Amino acid sequence: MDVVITSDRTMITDHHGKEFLGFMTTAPPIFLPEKIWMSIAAPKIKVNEIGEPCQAPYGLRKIEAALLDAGIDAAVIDPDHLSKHPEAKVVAIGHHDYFALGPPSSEWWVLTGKEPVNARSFRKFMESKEMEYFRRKGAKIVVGGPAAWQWLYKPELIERWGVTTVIDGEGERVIVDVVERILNGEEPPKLIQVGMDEVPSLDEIPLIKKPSVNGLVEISRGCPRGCRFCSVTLRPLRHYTLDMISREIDVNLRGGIKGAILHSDDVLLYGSSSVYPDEMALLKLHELVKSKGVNIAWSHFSLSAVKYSEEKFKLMSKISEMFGDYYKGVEVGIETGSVRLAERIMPAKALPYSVKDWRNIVIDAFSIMHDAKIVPAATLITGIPEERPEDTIASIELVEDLKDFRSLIVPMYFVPMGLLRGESWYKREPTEEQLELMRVCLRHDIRWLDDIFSWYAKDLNPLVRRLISLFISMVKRISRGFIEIAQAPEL
Amino acid sequence: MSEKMVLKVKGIEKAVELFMDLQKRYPMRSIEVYVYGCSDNERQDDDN
Repeated sequence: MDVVITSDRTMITDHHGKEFLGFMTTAPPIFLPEKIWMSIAAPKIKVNEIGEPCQAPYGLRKIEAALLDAGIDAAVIDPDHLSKHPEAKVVAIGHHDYFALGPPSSEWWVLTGKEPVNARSFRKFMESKEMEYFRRKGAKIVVGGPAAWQWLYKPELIERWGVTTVIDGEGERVIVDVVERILNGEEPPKLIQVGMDEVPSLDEIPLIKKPSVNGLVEISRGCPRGCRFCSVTLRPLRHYTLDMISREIDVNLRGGIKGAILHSDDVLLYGSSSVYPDEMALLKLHELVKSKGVNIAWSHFSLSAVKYSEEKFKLMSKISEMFGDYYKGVEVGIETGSVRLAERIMPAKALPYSVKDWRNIVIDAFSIMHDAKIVPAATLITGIPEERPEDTIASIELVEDLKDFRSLIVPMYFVPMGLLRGESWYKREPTEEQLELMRVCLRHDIRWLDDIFSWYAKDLNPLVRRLISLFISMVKRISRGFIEIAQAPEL
Repeated sequence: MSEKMVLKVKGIEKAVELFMDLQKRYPMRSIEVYVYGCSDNERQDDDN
């Protein structure tokens, strides 16, 4: 084999079939030994005789497909089985968060002062004897994926770990060029930014050939909203055809995966070229998934699209009816409860409504999802340079207004990229308002945790379920003090 | 469509610094930076 595509254990895992457990890889071990923490968050995955995992991250599957389509002998290989491919000339690596510099890892790092397990695991992987072997024999190491930018903050590691090329951007076209150059004996560039002219068009995006983790399939790329904190907005908008989506779901079904996680930067803008959700496109998309007989979940909804699609064509109610009486998960971005701040950092996030109505949009969308048994895992950003204490207070008040809606709300502590170069960037002190925001989110999450977990853990391995229950009771016990302190009246 | 920028830079630190600066200025453009370690900075920009 010429190219092995791989990553560390926090990536090459199926998280026990529970995508949300993957978030545990972004934290350091809390209350539990690291080994047990990792066994919950990132267990080893079944492999075949040549070390191919039965499921692999979607992004790695895309790179694999691009190389195979180009006639290059490549496969995703589990990190414990790299020694089965000593002849490989290229080791291609992808990751969501190589050095735990992105949210929510960066927040855990700030709060606990400890390095999250994803960064620990990746370091161990890069310093493993298998990777040392590849370096020594002159194999080329190519890194990319959504966290490729983090290498730019660790140039010393590019050298120490012998990284040949860093690819920043959508890599399906560029990886073929880079690998072909390597196989032809040429030296590829050290740093690559994928520009608009090298981004794959819809018909150049290869379809995955082997199953993706927990059945994740992409339906669109790009987002027209232009929020200031998000790089996705720089990507051109492309929607997969229903046939492409169907074929990828079939790949996962053949791999024994009984669910589909529809992935897009905003699933509810599928088929639309504006910020108005397209009724027919969305109905056809969900009818397609329904026809496959699999459970559904989504990667991201925008809250304004939730409200609009329900008010205009009852989409959430129809989905709920279509897929039955189980909770369905999705990530959503509240980001702030402050209209003042929303106007500055994400003026288009509320469209087609006015950003001045942002608070009501959030509340209405949560209410709609609660009724439709859709469980949002929501993010709030705090620590943005323009943020004033009154903005944080507005976010606190909004979280309190959401208390009756089944959801998890996670505050993301924003770390300006300029600070990431320093060794002690994570030694930052949240303000009293920011701490209070974290407390109200914790209070909200604890209120809903048992309800959500009892559904989520239904078909989980009993031992893992027991360990998570133990962890949740410890969180509750310890948090009680933290929350009560917040509620104590001033003397 | 803008042409690809191709640069050769001495040393990884300087290469990364230049690359990040170019990313800020030209977020939509294809950029390739080669790194070498034995001579002064040499810039080859297809635009020029």
